[in-house]
Amino acid sequence: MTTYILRRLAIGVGVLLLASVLVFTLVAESGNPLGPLLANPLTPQSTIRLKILALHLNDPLWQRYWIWFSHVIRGDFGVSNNGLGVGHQLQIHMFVTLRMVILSTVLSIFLAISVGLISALRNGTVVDRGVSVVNFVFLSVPVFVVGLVLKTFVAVPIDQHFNRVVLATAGEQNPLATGNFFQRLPDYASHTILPTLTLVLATYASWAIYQRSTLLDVMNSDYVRLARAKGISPRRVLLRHILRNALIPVTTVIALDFAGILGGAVITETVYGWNGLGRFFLDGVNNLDVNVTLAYLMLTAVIVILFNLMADIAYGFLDPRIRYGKR
Amino acid sequence: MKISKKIRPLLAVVATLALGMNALVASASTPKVQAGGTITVDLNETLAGFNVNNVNSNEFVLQEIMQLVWPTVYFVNNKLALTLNTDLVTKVAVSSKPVETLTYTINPKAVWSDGTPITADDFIYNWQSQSGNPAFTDKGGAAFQPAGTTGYSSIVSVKGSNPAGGASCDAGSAADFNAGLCPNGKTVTVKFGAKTPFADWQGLFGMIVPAHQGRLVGWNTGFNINGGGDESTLLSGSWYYVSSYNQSANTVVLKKNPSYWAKPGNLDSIVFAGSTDDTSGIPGIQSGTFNVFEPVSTSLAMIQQAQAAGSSVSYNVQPGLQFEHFDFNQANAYLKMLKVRQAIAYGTDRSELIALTVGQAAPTTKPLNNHIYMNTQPQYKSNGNAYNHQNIAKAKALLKSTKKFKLEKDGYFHPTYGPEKGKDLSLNISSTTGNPIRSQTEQVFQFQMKKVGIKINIVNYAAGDLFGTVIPGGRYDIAEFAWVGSPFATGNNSIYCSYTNKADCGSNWVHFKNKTEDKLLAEGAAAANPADEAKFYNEADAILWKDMVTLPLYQKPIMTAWSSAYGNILPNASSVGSTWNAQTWGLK
Amino acid sequence: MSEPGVSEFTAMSVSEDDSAAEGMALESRGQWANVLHRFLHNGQAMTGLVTFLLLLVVSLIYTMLHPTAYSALSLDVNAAPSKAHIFGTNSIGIDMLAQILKGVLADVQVAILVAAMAVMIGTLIGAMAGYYGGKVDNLLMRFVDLILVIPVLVVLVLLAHIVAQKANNWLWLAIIIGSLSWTYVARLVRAEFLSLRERDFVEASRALGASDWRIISRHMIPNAVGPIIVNATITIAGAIVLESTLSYLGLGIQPPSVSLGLLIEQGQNSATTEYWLFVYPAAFLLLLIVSVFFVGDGLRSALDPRQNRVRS
Repeated sequence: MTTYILRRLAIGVGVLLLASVLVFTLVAESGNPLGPLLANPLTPQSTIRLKILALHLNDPLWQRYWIWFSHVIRGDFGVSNNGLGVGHQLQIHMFVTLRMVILSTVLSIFLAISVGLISALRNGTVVDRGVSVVNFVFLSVPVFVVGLVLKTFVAVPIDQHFNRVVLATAGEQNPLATGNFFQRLPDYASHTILPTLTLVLATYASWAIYQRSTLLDVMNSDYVRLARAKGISPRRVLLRHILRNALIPVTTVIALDFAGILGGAVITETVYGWNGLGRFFLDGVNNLDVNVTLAYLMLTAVIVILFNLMADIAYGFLDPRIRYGKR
Repeated sequence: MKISKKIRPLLAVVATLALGMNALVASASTPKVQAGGTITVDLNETLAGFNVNNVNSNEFVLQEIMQLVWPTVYFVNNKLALTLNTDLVTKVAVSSKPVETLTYTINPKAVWSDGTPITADDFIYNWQSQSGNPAFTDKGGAAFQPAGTTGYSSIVSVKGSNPAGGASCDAGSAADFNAGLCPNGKTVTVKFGAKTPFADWQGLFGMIVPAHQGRLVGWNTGFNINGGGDESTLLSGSWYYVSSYNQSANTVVLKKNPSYWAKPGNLDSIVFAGSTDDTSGIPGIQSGTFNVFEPVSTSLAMIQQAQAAGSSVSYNVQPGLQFEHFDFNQANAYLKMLKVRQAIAYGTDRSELIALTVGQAAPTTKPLNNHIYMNTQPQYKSNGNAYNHQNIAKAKALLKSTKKFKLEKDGYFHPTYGPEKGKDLSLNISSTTGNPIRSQTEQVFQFQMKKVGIKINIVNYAAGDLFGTVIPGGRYDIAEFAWVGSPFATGNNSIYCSYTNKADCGSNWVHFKNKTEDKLLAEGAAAANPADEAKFYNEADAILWKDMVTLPLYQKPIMTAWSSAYGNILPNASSVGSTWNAQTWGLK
Repeated sequence: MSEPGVSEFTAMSVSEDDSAAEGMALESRGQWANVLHRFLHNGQAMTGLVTFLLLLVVSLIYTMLHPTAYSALSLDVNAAPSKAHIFGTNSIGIDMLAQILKGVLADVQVAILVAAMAVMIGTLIGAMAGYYGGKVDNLLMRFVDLILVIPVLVVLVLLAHIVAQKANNWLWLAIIIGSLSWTYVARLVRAEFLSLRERDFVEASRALGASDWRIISRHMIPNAVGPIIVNATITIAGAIVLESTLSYLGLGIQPPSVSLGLLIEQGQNSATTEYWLFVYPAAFLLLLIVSVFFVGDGLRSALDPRQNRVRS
């Protein structure tokens, strides 16, 4: 198993490199990052020339890639098109996004497992059907629609009713808030509720549906029926046999989905004006900024590779017929 | 294709617009505001550094912030008139013989917030950094990267009164400064070149960078602070200073500058924070997330949101200094004929176009009839009256009179030569993607040109592409985008002078060439007084109309919305934005 | 970037007890009739199918009868829903019904092309990986990793300048999305094949001298068809969601063409003042996606009926 993991990690690095080459080429060849500057008639030619030198725009592609690569090896993600350090920017934006993502993921997991459990236990009843329909609706709605609806039809009326900011719709915190973390907690909460709710609603549904079906599978499996037949109480059956076996598959699914959650977070940040990775990245890609785009790629790629590896290992436990290595 | 003739009553919108305007007029008669307090202004761009004169940080929102921190010689008020900032400069003398010479007398009490007096050294440094002259270098020998050099590049020397020699300092040489080696007089003499006088000199020396700080930390990147303690790099020479900057939340807090030597700002603090997109604007004011909001683009929906918000939200819509226009690429085989361009201009019903797009948000928007000056500027002269009304018959007649087009049964003209010989005359119109007003304008234009007999294809590009490669590379037929006007007309020269002069006319992408135009533009830029300047530029504009070089459409309306709890907020259409008088704002 | 939630249907189909798969290998024809029977009697699935078909048919007929209605400007701007315009008009006077139905068509067009590409590429790659195993499997799965690692968003933003300007930009959009969306199908098919190739009938076929290709196409793919179809419908729904998200960011279908996502993006500011510009496109989008998911879920449970047994 260890050799398998090490080998996958090594291959992961290879995939990372290949992806970086592809994306670098794509970004570098997609156009001229100095476009907006050139559009402004007041920008002096001398400045344009200096920027071209600074961004190495006239260097051959492989040389530009090598510059990026040799810096990244040493942990230096370079400088963005407008002169700010990318590594530092990535750090501060990441904390903003992670706040939302971690909270949402944890809540989604709880919600999904609970909802799945309720549906499975009440399989066939009105509750089950109703919950299923609701799940499908939230599965179908794109993240931004949830965000917009919550912002327009929930936050604004509530705020107007109470005549003060109960649910903030823009930004992650009030800039004038003072005090330590606990004193600012209500402010953080007010700004975090809606984005988290949006992301949770957009994420939980598929896991809930999957959890329900996995639970039904396990509940109808032979060894559970045997346990029931043996007279073990339903509750003990549930806790010891059903849940233990039914929770593993859903974790593999969650792991695989994590990259998607990040994507959902990007959209949620756009809707609620959070200054997180999403905005940083979207601005960077729109500005054809190689360093920013590649830094974001590295981050998401590492997450995808690691989580896929975890999911594959869990798959292996799940289905021993899938052997690793040559047959 | 029939157009339904039912026009929605616009009276309701106009009436409420008038109400909004009434609020504006009422507040203009200086109501009493309370002392102290705080206000939050919407910040809808990420900040990248604080040196607003550097090319990397030259954003509109940053200008709104830094004009309250770094001193400016001339202000542009909400009527687009220039007033001297007597807190900084007590008087300015101008002479034009033997060369254009300006003499500024700095207020003897003017100091930076660390106690260093504001002197000629600051003027010299700001000239050097924005002159584009490679002889002057930033810290470490790197070249300066200014956002613009217009005007500064025409200056030949800037000297202070004491010491008279005006020796320049070494980078980081605070010791030299204290020893009096840097010019520290309170009188500044600016001399322009004999062949390069500059008419818009009042626009120079805005948001002056503190020289002794700039030399120490570097002009290009030294003011890229991260917040959390290094805000002290930003010395203040005006009413407010940057008290805190939260980079991760993208918020800036300004507090009253205790070292300000004249009448201080009224509010204790001004906070810049808020949304990243326009949909959060009016709800943001309603929820109190921020109190002043200037959307990137104005729409009818936003106006209605503001109206629906009731008396808690005040708003104002006025023509801004950006104007939308059509560029005609004269390198195109068909557009190079004057009559074709004129036919297009006669076929375009600008009023209908406005009514179906921006006119819904700002019904008083009129077609713009001048390339250099906006309707709201005093120098405006309407040179394009011939094109005020759509004239399809004349357009068709013009095309026919070239003898190179034949009107076919399908309603379109077929050229008898060139790449589209025998086919429908097709032209592409290109603009930026993701802009609903522009895409609607393009659709209306397409519809109007169909009546003339020209087929229009809509081909849009991302902004970076459009301005980076498509337009400069001439890969377009008709382009729609906006130029930014200003109280200073000299910025237009590089757009309209002959394209063959690549060094000076880099923004002439339409392949237009005219010697008389070049002469008039040069005379305008060198004019000795504003009246002459206006005369030359208006004559230059007349030629642009005669040649139908580009077709201006309208001044883009801009909207400002603010919480009614505050007084003295007067929206300003120029690039300084609504914070131009933030030092007088207060709670009612 | 993918919307969270599409992958679980992949894993769902790799059930622990593959008696259904075995059953299908032995009595394939009878089984399909059963599947159809179960689907037709699934109320939720039939609702989804009927809704989807209804939307499709109405949109097709309307657009055939009024081909230019979706771009017909008028001076009747921002009109509230009325007899003349049952869903109102937008800010340049175009009828919203025409735009919505055209948007439905555009979305379905893109989604079906994406699903077709995803199924074809995914099945091919998954089959080869699962059947041959070993080095081939490793190589192909690393290729899958590579595709998974590159965010769709990056590719689309960067290619936007090519895609946005084309007259048939929906085609390019679909091709780009399709070439990045096949990974779930590939993993699914691979998992099926990995477990199937140990089966006796595969051994038997090989012993009889059947070529690899014949084994794959004749014996193995048919057994995977069920989950593939389910996954294809999920991919259709996912593609519609992805396109509308891209439109929200301004990267999807460009005006003057329409898509439902684009209409929502254009109407988002007017949600409280001209509700019809936001609510109706959103409602239709929701209806479209939900109906596809219902069909997918119905197919899944029709193929694997044990899920529907009531707890005993």
